[in-house]
Order: sequence, then structure tokens, then C-alpha cells
Amino acid sequence: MKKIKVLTITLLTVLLIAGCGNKTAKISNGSDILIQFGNTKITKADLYSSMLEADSGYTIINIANKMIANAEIETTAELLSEAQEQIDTYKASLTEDWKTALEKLGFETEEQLLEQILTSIKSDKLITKYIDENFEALAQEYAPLMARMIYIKYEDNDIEKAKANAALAINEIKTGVDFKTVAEKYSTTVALANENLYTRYSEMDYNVLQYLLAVMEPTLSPPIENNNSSGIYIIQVTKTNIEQVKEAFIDFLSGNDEFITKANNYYFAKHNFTLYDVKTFEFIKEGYPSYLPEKK
Amino acid sequence: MKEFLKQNWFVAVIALFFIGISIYYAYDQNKDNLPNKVVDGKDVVFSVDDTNFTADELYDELYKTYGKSELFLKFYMGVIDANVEETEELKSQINNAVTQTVSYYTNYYGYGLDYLNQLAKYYYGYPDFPSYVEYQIKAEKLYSGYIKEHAQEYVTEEFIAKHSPRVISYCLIKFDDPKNPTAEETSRLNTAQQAWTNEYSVEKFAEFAMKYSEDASTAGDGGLLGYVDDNSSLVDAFLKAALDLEEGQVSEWIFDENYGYFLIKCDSKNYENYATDPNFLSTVLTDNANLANEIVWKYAQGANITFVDDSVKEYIMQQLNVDKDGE
Repeated sequence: MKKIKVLTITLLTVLLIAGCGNKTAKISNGSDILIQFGNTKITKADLYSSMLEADSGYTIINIANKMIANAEIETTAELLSEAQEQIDTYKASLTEDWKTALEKLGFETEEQLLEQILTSIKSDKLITKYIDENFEALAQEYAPLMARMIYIKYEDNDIEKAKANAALAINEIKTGVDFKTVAEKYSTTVALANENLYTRYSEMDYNVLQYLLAVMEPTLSPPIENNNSSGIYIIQVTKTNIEQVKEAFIDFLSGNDEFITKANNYYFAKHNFTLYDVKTFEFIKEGYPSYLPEKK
Repeated sequence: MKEFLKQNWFVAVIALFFIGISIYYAYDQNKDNLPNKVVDGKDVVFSVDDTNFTADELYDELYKTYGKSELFLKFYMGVIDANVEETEELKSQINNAVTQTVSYYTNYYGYGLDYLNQLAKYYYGYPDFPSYVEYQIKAEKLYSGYIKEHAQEYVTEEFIAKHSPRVISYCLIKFDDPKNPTAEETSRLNTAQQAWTNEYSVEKFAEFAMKYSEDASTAGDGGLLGYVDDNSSLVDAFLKAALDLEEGQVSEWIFDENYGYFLIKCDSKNYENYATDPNFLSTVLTDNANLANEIVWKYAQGANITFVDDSVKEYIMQQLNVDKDGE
């Protein structure tokens, strides 16, 4: 009989544990009334719930980002001076008084604004830091290089004419005629003649991309027919040395949303960003899923 | 124990099996759950490294951005809820309005409730589109009730002289291209005109419209259009004729180059007959720019509103554009 009791208690405990769900974090004094009229009471908890709905996780990501940026990037005199410079430039452009302008921005004091600008600068630096720390791996992953191109379209399906023009263009480049001048003469898309950074993820014709991934040194390509056989590319790879493309590569990464998310995700994981509240978890899952830690 | 297991080995195996299943079930139910954290009696929302951010801190942070505007919306919705009775008729009116709008957006723009929910949330702060519609309709009812109670303040001689408010009915004989009528269209018009002259009178206008009007939206109601005034969005010839009529009068047949021929009747100029019409409400609210806000504030004061925080009170009064002297 005793054993049956033990067994029953064990089973009930297991079921009880199974029934323990996610928790919603509550504010202290949530039942405090903020506004009351008649039987209608608006409490702190009501307001908190509405504000969470309106915000959808944005504030949490911002605060966490600020905490991480402060942990990763030191506040140096240089950073302070950069932030102060931004404030001074803004002040100089104002037509209203400083206090009103601050209030419009949602700040009570200049120190608060300075702190906000510092966080913003640090967030940018955080991305640069991620690039610096992972530069070799990123260079290997993205395979960046600089190149310029000429594209000769098969006009009226005249493939032979396009091939002949391609041969002429290559010849002119080899004899030292300026690439842009040649492009203006033969290329259907002159903008391609500008020297640009290309990576493994550049949205380019498949055959062109394969060529760029294979090339190791600066060189001039032979005519390359594009993947849907509608024209010919001539590619001049100008820089393959990572040191030479570094600046352009960093600029590219710093402005790439997908990469920024990846870098932020790395720091959120590194600093053990953990959510304990199911409501905000759902908002972040919907709006900012990449910030959630990956399941191990 | 050994003896017991020997005698009951089958029961023991079954018990072990069930315990195993139960433990796995408990694990499976909890493996994706978030951890809970409470520090110094305060619920933690998230942490970065060893730094915790509590729900109280998040409340303060959110309040800076959303606090007052969310409180204003809650206040506004609260005043309306406290003063507008939610009858079955009202619920049905709200449901119909939501269904019609969603259907319109789905058919004409290709995006329906999800899009409207986003619009209601991000532009107007409501939780969803049905809530937005609900409070629009309830607000109309609140304003309408107030204006009805204070009709002498708003439906003045000046208002009547300026807007010529009235209730109008009409009968339409529709032409595809009124400037180039077909024989069949002319024949339909002649038949209606003869019937009006020979068989009907002003008192039987509704009956006439019900039988002859080719405007499906009003024919069933005896041609009743509703409230019309100088602000009404109606074709010029129609509006002019409608506003020239005295109560109980019927116009001549009015030609309009887009629709065909109208016969218009002024049903009433009596305020009681248009007091609840949304178009009348719209004219009064347009004439009295801040009236809607003043009505909300008056109803709130009527219910002895109390604010814990004076800055919230100030903000709400500022949003409603009501001054302290009006308290």
C-alpha cells in the first residue's frame, strides 16, 4: 500500500512539473491605479501590458545592445569628443533653444543625449570590432576582390558581332586604352566599368561569379558568355590582395544589414543574452528572431 | 523486497515503464520553457552577462516612449466604454462595419485583416482593426448622444441658415449615357414620369420610389437617402435641388449627365429626424473644431476622474486641447 502511495506521489509530481509553463514577468505594484473614473480603473499593469504590445521587443533589443556595446567598447576620450562634436554640430544648426530641442528629442539633459550618441557610436564600433576580430575568416568566407566589367549584349541575336566586339575590346584594353573609354564604346551597361567590390554573395551572373571565385591574381578575363546566353562579359580583376581591398571590404560589411545582424547575434550570444519573460520572448521571436540564442 | 519483486515482477516492469514515460513527458513539456528569474523580489525580464533587467526597469524605460500616449488611448477608450452601452445592435453594427471594410480591402487592394490590424496598431495605437472600428463607432454614439442633449447649443438658427439641414428621399431613373439616351431608357423615364403625374402624390413618394427607383441602395427604403446639408458630397444638380425644397415638397425631374433623372423629396427639416445621422454629426463636429475632445473630457469629469500623476493629467488635457478653466 505504501509503495502504491509512493508511486502515485511520483506520478503526480511528474505531471505537476510537466504543467509548469513559461512565466510572465510582472511589475511590482501592478495593481496601483493610475487613472480612475467611475468603475473604470487603469492600473500600472494595464499600462505595462499595452506598452509591451506597442513596443514589440524593440526597447529590449536596444537596451541589451547598449549593455553589450558598453561592455565591449571602452569609453575613451576620443569617443567622448566624437559624441560631443555631434552635439555641437546639432546645436549649431538649431533655430530654437537647446532645452526645447532636447525635449523634442525625448531627453531631459544633455548628458542623456551624450550617452545615447555614445551608445550609437559604440554600436557601430562593435561591428568594426567584430570585423577586426574575425577578419581572416570573413575574408575567406566572402572572398572579396575588386573588379570592373564590360557587358556586350547579343543585339538582335547577333552572337558573332558581339564576339567580334569583345575581341576588339580586349585588344584595346591590352594595348593600354583606358578601360572606361573601351566600356563606353562597347558595353551595354557602362556602370559596370567602375571598379567595384565583389564577394561570394554578390548578385552576379553565375558564370561571372564562378570566374571571380577562381581568380587569384589581378588579370583580364577572356570573353565569358553569361549563364542565359544573352551576352558576353569581359572582366578586369584589379585587386585580389586582401590588404588592398580591406577598406572597401570593411565599408561593405559595415553597411550590410545581414552582416550587422550576424555580428549582433554573435555578441548577444557571447554576452549570454537570456530572456525570462514569455511575453517579450514572443515579441522578439516575431520581430527580432536572430537575437534569440540558438538552441544547443 | 527481492521476494516482492519476484512475486510482482510484471507489475514492477509496467510501473517502471510508466514512470519512464512520465519522466520523458515532463522533460518534453519543459525543455523549451524559459528559465524563471526573480532578484530581490522583482521579476527579471532579461539578462546580459550578470546584469539583470527587471520588469520594473522595463516599465520605466517603456514609459519614456509610450507611457503618456498609451495612457491617453486607455483613458479615451475607458471614457467611451463607461458611457456607451454595448447593445446587441451596436455589436452587430461594429461587426458589419469590420466585415465590410475587410472585404473591401481584400477585393480592391488584395490585403485584408492582417494589413488593417497593422494599420490600426502602428498608426492609431489600437490592439487590432476590430478594436479601432469599435471605438470609432462608439465614439460617434457618444458624440451624438451629447449633441442630442445639447441640441439647442448646436442646432441654432445660424446653423440651419448656414447648412440647410434636412432629410431627403429620391427616385432615380438610371441611364448608361444620359446625354445619349436609348429608346428603352427614354421609355422607362416616360413611364415613371407619367406614373408620378397620374398615379402618385407627395404622400405616396416612398411607394413610388420603391416601385420605380433604379438605385438599389435606396429603393428598398422608399428612396430614403437620409441627412443632407450644404456639405454633402452629392452631384451639384441634385444637391442644389435638394437644398431648395421645403419640407414635404417634391422637385421637378432633375437631369444629371452621369446618372440620369432624379425626382427628389424633402422628407423633413425637423432636427429630431436627423439627430442621430452620422453626416449631421460630422457637420456639427466640423463646425465646432474641438467639440469631440471637449465631449470626451466632459464625460470623464462627469465620472469623477482622478489621476495619480499630475503630468499625465496635463498631457491628456493637452492632447484634448481643453484648458484647466473648463474643469
